[in-house]
Amino acid sequence: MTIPNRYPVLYPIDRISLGLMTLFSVVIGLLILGGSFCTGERCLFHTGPRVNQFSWENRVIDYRDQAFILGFNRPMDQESVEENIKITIPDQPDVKNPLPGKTSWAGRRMAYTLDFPAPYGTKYRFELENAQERFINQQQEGAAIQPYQAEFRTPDRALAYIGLEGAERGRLVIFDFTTQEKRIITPEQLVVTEFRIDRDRAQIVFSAVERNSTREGILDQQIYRVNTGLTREKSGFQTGKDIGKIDLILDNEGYNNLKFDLSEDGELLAVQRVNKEDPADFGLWVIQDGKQPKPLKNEPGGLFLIAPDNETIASTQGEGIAILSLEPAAQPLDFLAQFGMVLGFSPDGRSAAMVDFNKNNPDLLYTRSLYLVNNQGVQEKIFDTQGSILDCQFQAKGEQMFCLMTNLVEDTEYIEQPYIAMVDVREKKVAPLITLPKYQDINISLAPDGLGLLFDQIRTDPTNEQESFLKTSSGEALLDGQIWLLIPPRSLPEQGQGTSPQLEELPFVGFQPRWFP
Amino acid sequence: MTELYTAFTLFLSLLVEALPFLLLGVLLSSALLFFIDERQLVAKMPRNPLLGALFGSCAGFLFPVCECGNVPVARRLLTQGAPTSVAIGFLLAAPTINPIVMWSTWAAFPHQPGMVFWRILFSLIIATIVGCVFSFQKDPWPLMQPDLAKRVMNQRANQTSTSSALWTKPDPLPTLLQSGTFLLGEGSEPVRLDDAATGAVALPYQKAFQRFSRHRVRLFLNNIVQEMRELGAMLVLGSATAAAIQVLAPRELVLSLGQGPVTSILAMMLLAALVSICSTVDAFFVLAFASTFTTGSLLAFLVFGPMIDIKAIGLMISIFKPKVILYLFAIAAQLTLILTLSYSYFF
Repeated sequence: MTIPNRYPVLYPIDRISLGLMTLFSVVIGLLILGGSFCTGERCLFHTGPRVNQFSWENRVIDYRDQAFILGFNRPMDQESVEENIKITIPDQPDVKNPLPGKTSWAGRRMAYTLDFPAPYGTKYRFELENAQERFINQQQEGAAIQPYQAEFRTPDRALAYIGLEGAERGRLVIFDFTTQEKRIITPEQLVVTEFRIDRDRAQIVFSAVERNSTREGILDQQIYRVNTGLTREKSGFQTGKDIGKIDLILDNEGYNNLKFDLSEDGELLAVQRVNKEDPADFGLWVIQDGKQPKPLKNEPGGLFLIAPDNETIASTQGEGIAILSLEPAAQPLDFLAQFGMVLGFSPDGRSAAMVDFNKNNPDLLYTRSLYLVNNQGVQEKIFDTQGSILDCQFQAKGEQMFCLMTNLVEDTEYIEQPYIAMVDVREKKVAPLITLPKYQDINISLAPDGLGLLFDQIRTDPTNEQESFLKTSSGEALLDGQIWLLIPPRSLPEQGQGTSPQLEELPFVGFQPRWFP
Repeated sequence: MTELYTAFTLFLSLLVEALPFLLLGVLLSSALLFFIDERQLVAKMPRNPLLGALFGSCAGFLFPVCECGNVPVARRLLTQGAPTSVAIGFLLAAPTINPIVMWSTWAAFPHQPGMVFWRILFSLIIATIVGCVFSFQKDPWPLMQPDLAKRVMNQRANQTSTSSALWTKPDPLPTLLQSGTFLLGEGSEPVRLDDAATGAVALPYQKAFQRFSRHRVRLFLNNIVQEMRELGAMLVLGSATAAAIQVLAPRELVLSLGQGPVTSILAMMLLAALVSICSTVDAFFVLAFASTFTTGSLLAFLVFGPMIDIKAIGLMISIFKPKVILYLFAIAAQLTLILTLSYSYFF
């Protein structure tokens, strides 16, 4: 009698497991060898490394984008990557390495930090090929990367100004350098007195007076918003029924609107207002996110600026500068008693250029000092001058400033000779770039990419008493004005060397030129 | 001597790390026995192999245990007559597809949300495929250890013959003639404690599901002690083996093997098996290799590690036969390699 075999030799689990294991082995073999099945340059699939992240791929980058991140799916031979990165301008193939920068690595990701902001109005192409992978302890040369190519671009180079000629007189004019298009975007019945451009370029906030207003002249101004038709994302003027549409943000009911400032993110508007009935009711009002305006009820102040954090306001108050929060009737967050004026903030908001009038220092009486004050309270003097320091604007990386200042020229009488200087913030060196013939309400505007500085030179007509709105601070009627473009050097010129920056008169008649951010 | 100290430190750290999770798993398993009507739960489980494997894979959301805690629960599911695909799906995927592990992976790779997605997807695919494969074997004898297979067979017999009856004795022999451990004073007859593992003992207490009783608590505690004794011993053995291997084959040696996309995946899978790190923290461990290894190999570590590591093999021997563990190991390893290599090539 034979004992029946209770179980077969191979159970279903054995059969299916062994079968699947064989099948999977074949698939693994195909995967491993698949990279070798090539005809010419085309393989069944690419088994080498590849770029799996390029933070600027198909993006529009602006002055805030100072570095891109390049990520790989494998550890890479860093040298081979750095050597093979190629950035070009497709429209200008002759330009070699238009965006120099420095590289740094964190594992499989590389950061490329630009030496200076990418020039506006340009399309760039990024290419990487022939870089190799490198694993730890890998002796032999690694596989080559799958060639990678991407494009990115910068916004159009564009400016806005208040026109002073013909149909443009008193109206906002936008000129797009990239597409060479010009548009008047405010209506004829409004005379624009001041304006700020929103960071996204889509809107401009401006103060304006009705052209036929006969009451209080410029004190009647109201705050408006207009759609520009320009965007960061697209080149040229966009079309649409909203383009040129005007919205009234703040009227002059009960109050005169004096000065205003717009935060960098465009969400906060600060307006200096005075009660028409009670001049003692004078101070800053804020409008946040389109809500109702609210008075801050602080001590009355003078010049003010919204800080880059979009949450604080620096305002001159009495003998110093108060840093104000947006809470009504709150105590100032800080008070810098030494300084009399804040000129500008660095783009990262960590430091500000301030002026000390040296009122408490008998040795420096009638001397003004330019200081760099950081958010830790450290104050560094940059230089002293007998003249005035009128305006300073930081370059995007915050390493340089361009300042409008004056020299006191002693002749038959004291004359203030305006000049524009380049200031190296780190080295604390000042290099005058250009001397201007006459100081009269000059406005400067540094391009977001730092490549051009706009300034205006106005002519006045003291005999014209008909002009109610377009006047200088001394009350003279504006006749016309030229807008100039100064192309400064990339770095501070050495002392004694020729400082001949390029200067070009732009074909616009107007004043208050401002670059689009 | 230094190696011995290192091995002992590794052994203790593995044990200390895993014990709370094993205890959690045993608690869950015992809770399944005494506080949930397992029959209804098991009856509701899908019998279709694919759906069953998917159900088991996603059951980690119900029982968030790591790879030490999932074994007792999987064992409980099998002994309760749950489909094999459900138990295998749970065994392989529950340590990964549960909220704690998803959160920790996200926390370790906050800038790579894909890591969480691919980890879950690959674990789900592998667990489902292996679950389906194992469902082809209807007879539990070739799969499981004889003792467990016997319990499963008993359970299945109970399920078929007593679908309407409330209680049937599992053995026709008088209890006095049977070997084993019995509880006295639990009714008219002694209750076999071994049957606690099968759930049969729960039946006399079915009416007591709604109320709290001293007897139930005692049985609950007894079950915890029994499972901890069985699985705890395996965990100690597994941890000792993992510690010994780590000392004999240092991590540096394993890592130096990864010199290409394929070998780096293999190295990380080997490392995952050797270090036996718990799935709740393995994402932080593997983060250290993020700069020197491919994303595919990191995924291989995160997918393969919770499925099979040395100390888990120790625990799984308490359920499966060695040959079956080899199948499980090999198919999971091959699928991990295929999926992560494809990821390396195509993403």
